[in-house]
Amino acid sequence: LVPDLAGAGLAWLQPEVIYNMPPSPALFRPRSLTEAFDLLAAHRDSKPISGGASLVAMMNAGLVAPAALISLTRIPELSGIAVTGAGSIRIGAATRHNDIAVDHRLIGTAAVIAHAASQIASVAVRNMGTIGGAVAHADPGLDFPPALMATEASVEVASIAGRRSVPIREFFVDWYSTALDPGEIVSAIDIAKPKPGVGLYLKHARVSGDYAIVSVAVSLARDGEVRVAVGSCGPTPLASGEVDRMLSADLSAVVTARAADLLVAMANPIDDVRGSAEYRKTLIPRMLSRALRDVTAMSREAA
Amino acid sequence: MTKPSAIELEINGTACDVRASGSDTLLTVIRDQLLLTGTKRGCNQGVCGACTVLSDGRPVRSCLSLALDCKDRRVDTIEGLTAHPVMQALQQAFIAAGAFQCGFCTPGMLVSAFDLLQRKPASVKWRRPRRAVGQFVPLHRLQEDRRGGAGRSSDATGRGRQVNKLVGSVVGSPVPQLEGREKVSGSAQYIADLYRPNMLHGAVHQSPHAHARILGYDLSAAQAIPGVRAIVTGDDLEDHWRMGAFIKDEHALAKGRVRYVGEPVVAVAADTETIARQAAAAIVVNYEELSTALSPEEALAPEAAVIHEEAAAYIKVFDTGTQGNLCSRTSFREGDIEQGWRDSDRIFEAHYETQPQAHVSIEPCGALAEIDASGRITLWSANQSVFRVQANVSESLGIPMSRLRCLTPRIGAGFGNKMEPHISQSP
Repeated sequence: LVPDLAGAGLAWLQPEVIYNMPPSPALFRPRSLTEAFDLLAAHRDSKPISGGASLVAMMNAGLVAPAALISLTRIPELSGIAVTGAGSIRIGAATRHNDIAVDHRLIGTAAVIAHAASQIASVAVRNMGTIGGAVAHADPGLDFPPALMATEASVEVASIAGRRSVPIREFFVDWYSTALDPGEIVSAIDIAKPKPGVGLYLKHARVSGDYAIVSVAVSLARDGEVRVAVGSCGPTPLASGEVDRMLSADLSAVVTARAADLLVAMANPIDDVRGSAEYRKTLIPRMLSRALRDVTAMSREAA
Repeated sequence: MTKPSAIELEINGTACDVRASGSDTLLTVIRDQLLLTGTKRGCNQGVCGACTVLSDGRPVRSCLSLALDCKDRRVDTIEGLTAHPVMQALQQAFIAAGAFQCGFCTPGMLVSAFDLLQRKPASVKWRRPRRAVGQFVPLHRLQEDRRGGAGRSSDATGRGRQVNKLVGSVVGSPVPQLEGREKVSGSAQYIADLYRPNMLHGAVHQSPHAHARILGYDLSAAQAIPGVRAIVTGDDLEDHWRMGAFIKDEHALAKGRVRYVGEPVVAVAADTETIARQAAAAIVVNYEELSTALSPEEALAPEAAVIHEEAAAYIKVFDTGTQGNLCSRTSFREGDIEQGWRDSDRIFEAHYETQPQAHVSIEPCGALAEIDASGRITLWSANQSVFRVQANVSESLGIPMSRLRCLTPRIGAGFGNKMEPHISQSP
């Protein structure tokens, strides 16, 4: 907006164009969820942030510029892992990857979650990133989403209106898109009581700590129940009840190949620097059979 | 715009007063405000590890940690940890083993290794490092040795023997790098670690197009930002000010036409890095997109748009057969090739291709210039070829070489990318 200086008899003044500076966000550090929801509602285009491992990287790259940041790091109820009376495991959304990787309660079929956590990025990033941030970010290359889908897990979502639980296999909707509604945050991940058994997260990446080219998460219960999910092969991790039923009934090479065919048919990967879509589809059957062979061996060893 | 908040951070055991806005990272604050430059900015994406610090005793990436969120935490950087005996043992081991080349990410490696030793002391077997020749030998003793030393014969033959002994003990033995101590302590200074009083910061508006004509610039929004001191475009450069290692084909800033994505188009100098970047982003350049040729085959097709129409007139260090879009042609023969074909049982003929590779060093490019009252320029830059930088800057900015002194601080690798003078910018 340039004022009419000449008209006001001020032609000697330099007209000043007021440049709209890109906003520098404020950071709030609420101590309770209620306070966090109030802040989220009060600030348009605000983003909740916990570890910052992905959001700050995106801000540094100029991809996002939130108007305000609501830090969830000082809300005690969001952190830590607890076992409920019924034996289910509750992982607070702001629990860091490294704390999950070394937690001795994630055993049996839930071991796949700790195994995936141990393979995320690097030690320094695992000390920052949180499981709630990972599932809310929903990058198809992340390690937690397929690992959680290989267990019986649900995402607890909280908002000013209350809390609801979304089964993990319904949580991821599309590229970077989840069942979260505006104003909602991930408050916890609930894992059903782990069964005796084993879990494995097989990750194929260019270098240790990179995003997966393809990853396969498997849990194998001692009663024979198998749960499988494949990461980095489409907008959301691949998993299906039919594949799990087939493999739970029969882990033979023939059935494994049929299950792999179903997963390949579901896959919709992209070509990127990590690998072509075709290469990723080629890897699915090979990695699935390797993962199943490994969990079977681990299961025998455990027994 | 939200004003930066004043906060107190505990860095290396000291309470430090800093100012930060919500998006300022811990890395920015410890480097730019506390001048603790041992923590390096490499990728700014949490991947490279050069910015690793300890937060409450655990390693984190300071480039991904928001400064305001580090309140109530204890932060330790390489500068503070250097006082710790375990860190000192690690640093000596790094020096003895020559465990660094350019040293840019060495502070980050040491902080990570320090954490590993704290968490899993038993996982590492300490081995007394093989003593490198000259290591930790005080300078006066070395000079004594060279002079023949106390109690040694000082006649001509004795001195000769002594020199031979010294040479004999160096050849075949590991010699510690001269700059080892500065690299392991974080005090080695790379281009981004250099400061001059009242210095301005630069940012560059880069081309978003592979091939386009520049129709005009709208600099008004950028000029209106408080703190912007100068804006330079290709219009400020003479047409014959061209530089290049072999073919002088490029202006310091694009003139009339851009020929690749990322080509520098407009440069801004401002009071702070933030203002400079904001101004660069506020510059509007009107482009008319031209047809592109994005593969060698497309570029050599007869109908392809010629990227350098004046190529024939360019100064070339030697003629490489430049013609149209063909930059250089190489063919060579060795021995009797026809005889070789005749003697071959089988002949395979094919078209071979190799992928391009970017030489991506962790340290980006950069430069710092100071002009004295007589107009003489001292130019520090991250480069691998300081005299080529002097020649090219002189050619591209019309500055006589006699007024331009070029210096190279430590560089965070180059792999060939830092042969020519250039600066680079991430968003």
